[in-house]
Amino acid sequence: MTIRHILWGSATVILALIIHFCAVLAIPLVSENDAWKRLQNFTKVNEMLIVNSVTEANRLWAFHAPDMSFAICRYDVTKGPVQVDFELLRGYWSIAIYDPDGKNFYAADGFDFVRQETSLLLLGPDHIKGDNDALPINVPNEEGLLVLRAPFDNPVMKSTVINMLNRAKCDQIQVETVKPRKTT
Amino acid sequence: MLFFIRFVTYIFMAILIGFGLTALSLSTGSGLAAKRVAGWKSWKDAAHLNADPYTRAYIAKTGQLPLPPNIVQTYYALYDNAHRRLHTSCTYVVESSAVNAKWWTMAAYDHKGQVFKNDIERYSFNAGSSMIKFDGGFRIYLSQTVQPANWLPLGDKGPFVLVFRLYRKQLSEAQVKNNGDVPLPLIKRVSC
Repeated sequence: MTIRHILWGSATVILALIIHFCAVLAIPLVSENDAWKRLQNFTKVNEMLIVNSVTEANRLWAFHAPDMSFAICRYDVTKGPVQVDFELLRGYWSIAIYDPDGKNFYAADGFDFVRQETSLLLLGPDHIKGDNDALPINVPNEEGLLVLRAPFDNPVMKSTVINMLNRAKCDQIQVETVKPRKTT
Repeated sequence: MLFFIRFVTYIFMAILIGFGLTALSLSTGSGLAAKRVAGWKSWKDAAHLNADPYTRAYIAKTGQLPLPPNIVQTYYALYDNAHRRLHTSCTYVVESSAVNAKWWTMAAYDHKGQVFKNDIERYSFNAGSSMIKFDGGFRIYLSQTVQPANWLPLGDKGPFVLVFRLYRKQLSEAQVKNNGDVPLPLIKRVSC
């Protein structure tokens, strides 16, 4: 092996590492498969989408837990805060909020809440809570995803879970006209 | 001319190695981003706001919306306990002692992260749906053909991924000192 081969080999390894790091950094920017892009086709703004079948969940994202139903709200606080009302039947039910990059900036499960019925108020940068009793959450982006996850032990429990998810609400409200709904 | 051929060859090799390394680190989990515990891997910062670039790339590539580890800890297995790639043509038994968590679930997925469709509509076992052993643990059979007790049907698509989720896992003092690592199920190949 000559010096020339070693130089060419080293240059190849360095170039390969550069390509590797660039690819890793570029994937989140160019991926057409991320949750935000996928869910945009299936969700409406400030409306709950209930996902209760494995076939449906398979289309939405990879590695979804099959013994779980979901309520998803693609919120937009551009025109005002968004109030989310929901119930957490069991301690391991959870609610999580993500920005469009898929970064999770809020998550809680049933063990974190004192009451089963809970309300969150998603506030944009210029919004104030007013006299609303819902738990205020300042969202970093005007748009994002809120996911309520409801696991069930067996198929018999599934209908109860779906009924509870169907009662979950995701509505835009006007701060000036808001009236207290529920306490947390 | 020789220089040009050599130049093109090395560039081609660099591209191949660069993208190959990327695909490998995202599928098996880079040591920088994924924690390995007894054959299972866990993307430790999956739900972290300042997740490392590998984790961010993995999440974007797979389209997941992860939860933080204090709510659910997710473990992925691509290999059995003898480090052979999990494959749907084989039969496996997954065995665990009592699980110290509020709830757990185990499911098998194809290489795209989708559950295997099956006629009996069984896609997972969890703390409430599985038959429990006398010691409080569980034994789950993974196979294309019918197996006794907890049988999770596999599809006919080739390699698969096993995912184990622990909801609010409870740690003993010793486990806290051991970086929060808990005993995870053992995956044994029964036949192929």
